[in-house]
Amino acid sequence: MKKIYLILLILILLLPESCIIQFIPETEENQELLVADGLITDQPGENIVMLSKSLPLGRKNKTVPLKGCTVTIVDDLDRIHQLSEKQPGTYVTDPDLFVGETGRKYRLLIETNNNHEDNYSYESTTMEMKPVPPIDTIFYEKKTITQSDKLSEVEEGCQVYLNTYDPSANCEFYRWEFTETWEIRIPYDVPNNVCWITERSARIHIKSTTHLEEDRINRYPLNFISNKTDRLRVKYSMLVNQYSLEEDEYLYWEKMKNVTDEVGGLYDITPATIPSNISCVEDPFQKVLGYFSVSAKTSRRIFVKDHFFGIANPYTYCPSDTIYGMQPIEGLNVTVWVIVDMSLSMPPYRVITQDNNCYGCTLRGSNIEPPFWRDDEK
Amino acid sequence: MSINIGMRFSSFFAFGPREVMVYDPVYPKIASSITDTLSFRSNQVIRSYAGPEFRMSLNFRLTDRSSFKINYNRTRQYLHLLSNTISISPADTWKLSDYYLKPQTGDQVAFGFYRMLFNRSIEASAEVYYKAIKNMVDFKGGTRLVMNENIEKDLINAKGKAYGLEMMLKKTEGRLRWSLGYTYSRTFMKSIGNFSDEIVNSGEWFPANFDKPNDLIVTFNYLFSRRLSFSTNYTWNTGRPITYSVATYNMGGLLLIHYSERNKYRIPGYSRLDISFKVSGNLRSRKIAHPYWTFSVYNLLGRQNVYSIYFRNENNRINGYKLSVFGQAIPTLTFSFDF
Repeated sequence: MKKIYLILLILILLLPESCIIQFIPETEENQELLVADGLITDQPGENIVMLSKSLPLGRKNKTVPLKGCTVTIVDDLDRIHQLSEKQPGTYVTDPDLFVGETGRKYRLLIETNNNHEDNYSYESTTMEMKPVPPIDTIFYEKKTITQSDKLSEVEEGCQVYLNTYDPSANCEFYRWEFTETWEIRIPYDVPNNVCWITERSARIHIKSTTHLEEDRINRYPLNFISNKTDRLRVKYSMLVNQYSLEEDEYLYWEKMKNVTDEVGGLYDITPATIPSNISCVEDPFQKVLGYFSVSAKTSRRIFVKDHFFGIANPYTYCPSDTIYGMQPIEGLNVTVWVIVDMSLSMPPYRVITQDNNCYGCTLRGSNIEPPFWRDDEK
Repeated sequence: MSINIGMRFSSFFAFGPREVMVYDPVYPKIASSITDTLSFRSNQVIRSYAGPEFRMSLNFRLTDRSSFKINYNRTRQYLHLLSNTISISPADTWKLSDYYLKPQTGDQVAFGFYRMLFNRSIEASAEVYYKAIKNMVDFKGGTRLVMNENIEKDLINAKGKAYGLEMMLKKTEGRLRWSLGYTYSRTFMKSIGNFSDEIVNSGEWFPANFDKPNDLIVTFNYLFSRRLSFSTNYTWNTGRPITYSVATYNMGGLLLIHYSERNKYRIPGYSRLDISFKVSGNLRSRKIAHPYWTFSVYNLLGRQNVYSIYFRNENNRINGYKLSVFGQAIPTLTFSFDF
């Protein structure tokens, strides 16, 4: 007999569901590891080494400073410089006694001074301070985000590029960091209507020229400023720091970049242990996080004062309200901020109010003009 | 005694069109160490691999109820599985051998013993094996496997070893039929490379992604009558290895994760019991169709078997999650008929 199975009816009495529950795995690893974030350069001023501890999962991201450590930098001439703890976990060099020199080699030594038994000493590998050329140019180009049509206006953004060139071909591995500053203006006659916002770049910018004919970088896309913020509304400036790297440090930043560029992204990144150049002297198997960077540094500032179409204006929808009353109005400058006070000494009392972000810009930035702000006008 | 010797010769050609990046051998394979691009035209051979695959088996008939078997074989495999086990659904990518990826070869030796017990009503078997594997692939840390154009720079070469024991008891006749199978099997890998980014877990042996030591399967069938039967099966196995996020830390305003050694931990074990009853209609052979009803329950114990464990960055906080699919018993009723 020929058998043909024909399933006529599948009755699923209960619909299957997948379920996701929060789960913090129990691991036997130490969750409080030393995190060292240090950078010394050849520029005058303080060099900072930040020491903190890592946190178990499921905790809000914050820095837990590691206090009371002895932090020293030793160079290849065995000159020892001890850092002082300026703030908890923040150790700084004395600018009068220590300035990095290119061509020298440096080592970081850390000793924890807990009151417990578990004191450890840590040591970085010896890092050479390689010379870095000046930044050749930083320039920007307007980029059209959306073309104009009947429904929308043109939207423009600003792409900032960097060129650099080392005729001696010594540097080869570069890292950049930048700090953005922009002016904001509140379109009302309120006490603080001009402020400056300063933000540090969070992304990692690195490039190597080892496989190019020349130690030259052209049009490195450093930053794209979109029209979604008000950075380009009034005046914008960017201070770019260029650092030389040893190859080992370049590889460290490259791994770091791979991991951080993808956090929360669509495609999951394979788990990576990023090896540090710092290790524990007593227990070589103890994991240490972070890096001791030794870099020569050059800087350059660019100003952008241009008209861009379609830049966001956070002050378009400042809700305003007029309050009348027979009694003196209470709760002002707590939930509502007075723009215009038209109250007379006698009733009716009347004020025009607005929310606090529209009232003063000091919630977003500082009302003190940065010292470099008019450097482009000289 | 019987001897069986064989050889198979297999070859593999990777064809264009394709652009192959060439890396400076002095540096690790990273984007900035690309020195050249080789362009291969359509149907041009990029690289070819070929080799023999030997096999040999010796069968000793000890008595009329028992036998002993030794066998050796070599396999060459031109398809490689890459999987990242920490994503919400383990992201598997299949990759053919190419300019960089050599075929995986395995040499396996196995010994088996087979015997009929209790008047030939029960079959018993036990087999042990050992396999040495060359050219296994794994990935470097901090890379992505999906949508990756030059994946060769993110892969590492590893050697592997696998060994295990398989045992089986089976009753195939009578009203009551059952089988009991247990396997203990291990697969380990060890990374081989010249650069630090090609070394996983300090170059020590570590469990492969599919290393699941224990695997138990029990099935049981009972025929109450010609029209009513009951069957059940139970599965239990060790969870697959996983790399956990251990701690988080902050550097320069970035939230970073510190992971355990690769595949150091395992997701919880898998356990599932299913049952089913089958009721047939009357058995007159003249009927056009023979209808029957099946009532079954999948995952009777309602166990929330873990499918994956993954981590997410939510509002600057790294959280871990456990995903289970079919986390409760699922009854089904089926009506079918045979022609």
